[in-house]
Formats: sequence, C-alpha cells, structure tokens
Amino acid sequence: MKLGDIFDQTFTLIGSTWSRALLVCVIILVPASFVFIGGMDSMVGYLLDLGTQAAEGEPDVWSGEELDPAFSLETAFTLLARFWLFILALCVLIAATFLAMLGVTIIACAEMAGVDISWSEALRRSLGIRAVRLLVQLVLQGAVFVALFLIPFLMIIGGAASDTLWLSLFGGLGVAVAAFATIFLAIRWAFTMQAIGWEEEDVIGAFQRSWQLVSQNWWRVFGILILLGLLEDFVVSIITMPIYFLAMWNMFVEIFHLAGSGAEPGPEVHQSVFSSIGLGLGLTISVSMILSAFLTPLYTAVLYYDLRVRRGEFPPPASTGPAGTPLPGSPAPSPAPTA
Amino acid sequence: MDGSWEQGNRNPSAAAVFALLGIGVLYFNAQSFLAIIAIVLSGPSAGYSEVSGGFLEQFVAVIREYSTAIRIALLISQYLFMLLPVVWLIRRWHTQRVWEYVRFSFGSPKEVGLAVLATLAIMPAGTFIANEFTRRLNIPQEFLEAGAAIFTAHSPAELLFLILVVAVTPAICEEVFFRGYAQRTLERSIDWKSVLVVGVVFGLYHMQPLGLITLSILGIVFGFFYYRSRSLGPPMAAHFTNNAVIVVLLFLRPKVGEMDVAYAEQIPLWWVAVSLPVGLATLVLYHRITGDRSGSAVPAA
Repeated sequence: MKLGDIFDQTFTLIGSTWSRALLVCVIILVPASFVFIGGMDSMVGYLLDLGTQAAEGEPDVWSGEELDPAFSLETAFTLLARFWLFILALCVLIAATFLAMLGVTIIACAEMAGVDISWSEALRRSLGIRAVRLLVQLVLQGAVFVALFLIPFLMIIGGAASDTLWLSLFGGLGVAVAAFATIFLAIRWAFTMQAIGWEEEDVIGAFQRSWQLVSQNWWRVFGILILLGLLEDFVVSIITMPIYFLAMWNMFVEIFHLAGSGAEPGPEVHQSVFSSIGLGLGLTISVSMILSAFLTPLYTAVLYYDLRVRRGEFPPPASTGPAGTPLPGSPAPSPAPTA
Repeated sequence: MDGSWEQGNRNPSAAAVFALLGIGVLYFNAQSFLAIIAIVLSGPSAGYSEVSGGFLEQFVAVIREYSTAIRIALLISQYLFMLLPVVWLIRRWHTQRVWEYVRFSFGSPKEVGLAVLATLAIMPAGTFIANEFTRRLNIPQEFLEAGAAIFTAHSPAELLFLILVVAVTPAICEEVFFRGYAQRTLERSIDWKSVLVVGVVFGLYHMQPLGLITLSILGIVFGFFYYRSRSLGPPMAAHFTNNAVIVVLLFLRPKVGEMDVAYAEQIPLWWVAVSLPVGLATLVLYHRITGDRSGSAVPAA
C-alpha cells in the first residue's frame, strides 16, 4: 500500500469500527480514570493542605497535632503513602490504556480480515490470557529499555562522582547510543500487540513475529508511525484543549481575580487557586488516554496488514472499496481467531 | 480528476481529514519555528530595561518591539505552510485544475454584499458570547490589551500592514484551505453536513477556548456562504470583513458613551437584539437568492 492507501484504509477502518472501539475504550478506561483522578486529587489536595498548615502554623488536620514546620514523621509517612497511592493509580490507568488498546486491536484486525466480532467478544478476549501476555511483554520491553540506559547513566554518575572526565564522556556517548537503540527496538517491536491480540502468540513469539514483520521495512514503518503519531497528537490536543480549559475553570477564575485585585498571594489563595488542579489535570489526562487508546491501534492495524501483504501473506488489495471491506484475496489470516 | 487519490479510487473524505490534520501539524509547528527565528533575527529586546511597571506592562512593551517580526512570520507562514501545501495537495491528489476545484471565483456582487452585511450584523452577537466568558473569568482589561497587542496598530501605515496580515491573508489562505478544499471535498460525501464539520474544526484550529463558540459559529456561517454560492468570493469577503473590523476597532478605540467598544466588558444586549435579527434575516435572504445548489459537481478529468 502507498501512504495514501494507508490513510484511506485507516479512515475507512475508523468509520466501520468507531462505535465498538470507543465502547471498549470507555468500558475499560472510565473506571481506571476515576481511580487515577481520585489518586491525583488526593495527593495534590494533601500537598495543598500541608502548605496551608505550614504557612499558618495550624495543627495537622488529620492528627490534630501541632504541625512542626520541620515536618513531622507522621506527616512524612502520610505523604509517602499518598504518593505511592498516586503511583498505583497511574499504573492502573496505564495498564488499562494498554488493555483498551488490545481490545481495539482485536476489533481492528478482525475488521481488516473480514471477520465479524462484537465489542463484547473483543472485550472478553482483551481481558483474558492475552492481557497477561501483553502486560508481561510490556514489562519485559520496559526492562530492556531501562537496561539500555542504566549502564551509561551509571558511567556518567560514576564519572561525575570520581571526577573522571573520560568516564562521563563515554557515559554520554552511551546515552546517545541507548537512545538510538531504544528507537530501533521500539519500531521493531511495534506490532507485538497485534501478534498477541490477533495471532495469539506468546510473549517471546510476539517479539519474534513483530521483528520479522518489520524486517526490511524499518524506515518505512518508522516514518509512517511518526507521521500518523503526529496527526494523532494534533487531534488529541485540539480536542482536549477546551476540555482542559473547562476542567480548570475555577483555577482560571481565581487566578484572574487575583491578578485583577492585586492582592498578595497567601496560603488560602494557593488553596483556592490550586484546589481543582488535581481533578482538572486528571480529567484531561484521562480523556487524552481514551482518545489515544482509540486511535493508535487503528492505524497500527492497517500498517500491520500492509506489512503482511508485503511479506506475501496476502495478495495486494485491488482497491479499498466500501467501509469494512477486508483485504481481497484469501487465504484467511493465520491463525484463525478462536473463541 | 487525474490526481493520485482520485485514480486510486479512495474515499475523498479521508483526503480532506488527513489534509486538515497534516497541514494543521505543519502550519502550527512551522509558524512557531518561523516566529522564533523572526524574533531572534530582530535582536535582543530593550523592553525590559526601558519600561517601568509590572509584568504586563513589560510584556506589552516586548510584544510591541517584536510585533513586526511576529506579523511577518504570521504572513509568510499562512502562504507558505497553509496555502502552498493545500494547492500542492490538490494538484497531487485530485486535479491540476486547482482553482476550479476550490471554486475560486468572486461570486455575484449581491452574494458578496449580503455576506458582508450578515457578518457585520452577527458580529455583536459573537462578541457578546465571547465577552460572557471574559466577564465570568474576571479577566482584567490589562490582560486583554496584552493579548491583543499583536493585533493593535498605532499608526495608519501600521494599520494597513495589519489589515494585510490579519484580514487579507487569512481571507485568502484560510478560506482556500477550510472552505475551498476541506469543505469542498467533504461535500462530495456528506453534502451540507460538511458546513457544520468544517465550521467546528475551524473554531478548534484557532486554539482559543474563550473564542471557540464564536469562531465555530463564524466558521459555519462562512461555510454556509460557500456552500450556497458555490464560490469562494462571499466567504472570503465575510472573513476579511470580520477580521478587518476587529483590527480597525483596536486602532480607533471608539467610545460609545463611557464604553470602550474594543474592550467592552459586555456588549449591550440591545445591540445584539437589534443586529442579530438583521443578521439572521440576511442569511435567509442569502439562502433564497442562491437557490437550490445541492449536489457537488467535481471538475472533469
């Protein structure tokens, strides 16, 4: 497929799958979003309370004890607990995003292959063994990327600590090499989700399958993913900007009121200005995650099938045809999806 | 229609959507880059050291110092990163007969006149809506003046230049892009609904939350002019009128009684009550004189 064909297929795929895909995203991501928003609001709210109390010398609202400006142990533990709760909430949101993407991937691949699949079936499949494989694959992939950067960073830190210039320089060079290696591997492993979700590969098999698909097409895949990623980011940003503005409305009202009155900002002002920031940011981030989870798997699925056509697994399509028309020419994709 | 998109038998709506997104990404990023280059080439600002007062006063002084550079960047980026790419895309994807495709014609004087009149009549209502957000947010006038500094002229020569940058250029470039290409192409599949879709996208593209509703309404009205007249002339004239009036008001700062029209906290409701029916009546008249123009003929190959 040419680039225009990929655009056209993606548009057609969005048209034929948007309701099912969006439903799967909403079902998985809305509860996770509530968890995230709650975690974010809780942490930001506690930080604001601490700031207000520290400035005013008031007793801690939770323990009733006099707040030591130097920070009590109890306060520190509470703050740490809320921070970890926020991190946990963030992990829940990230995991839910990938599971939603898996569900959309299944719907998209089925549509491209001419297989009829309902949103409930896609949801069921995305929450089964495939979910476990996907999460393990993501953890493994993340571990590889972290490992690539770990040694160069240790060299830089070691060089700085021991005042050894060559160690720091090599460490810096190592970071650059690690960055290129990460990008290379990220593109090579860009289709593990399709391998796990549609071809039912295991974790190692998914890495191998994606590596095989991208082979001899690395630059093409890189360019198209970058281009479509930029377009997706643009869509997400113009849609979330008014949402962000509305979500942070109270904060803007307080800021402009403060600017107009010329009053000196104090703790109670910080409280009123920033009290809604946790909720507002959490809501905006959640909406953008839902949009990304919806869009990314759709164009990735088109590219996945394009690569399969290039490998001769399908004959090249004669024309795009109406929405939902599968790539012409059997055989059916292997393996055939099972219940 | 000898372009590669047409020859490939692809969905024209897909072309419109990807052009809207692709040119949007190109335009916003390139415009920002160009503005930074223009500011750097202008040299360091003397605003901070020479102007007394708070942050806003200094911000306005710096904006004024760099306003020519920023305006030139805006001017160049509209032609280079919006008009040129859309012309290239039309030639490559659809047809060599670009100006016929986008219906780049003047239209009848009656249609152009009614479009201008309708735009002038609707402006108070649009301003009322935008002002409502400004009022509820309690945005101080100093902030509004700071935000409008780039569009405020201080001499007749500067006013003429601003009209070129802010009124003439968007009337050409944005209308060719949004109405001439995006709406025109979407018309082929979704007919009149393209007016609503592109109108809202036009509003979103300006990235101004306070003005989103007003800009979307304007976009829909411009799209209506284009759809009914089958010509770019009326929407271009309307777009020019809207932007030129704003620039002139910022220059003249006329007062009605105690009210500074350019920065009125709230447009008097009776202005809206009088002008809006006139605007709506003009739109109805426009609809009648343009007749039944449904269907979307494309240039023959």
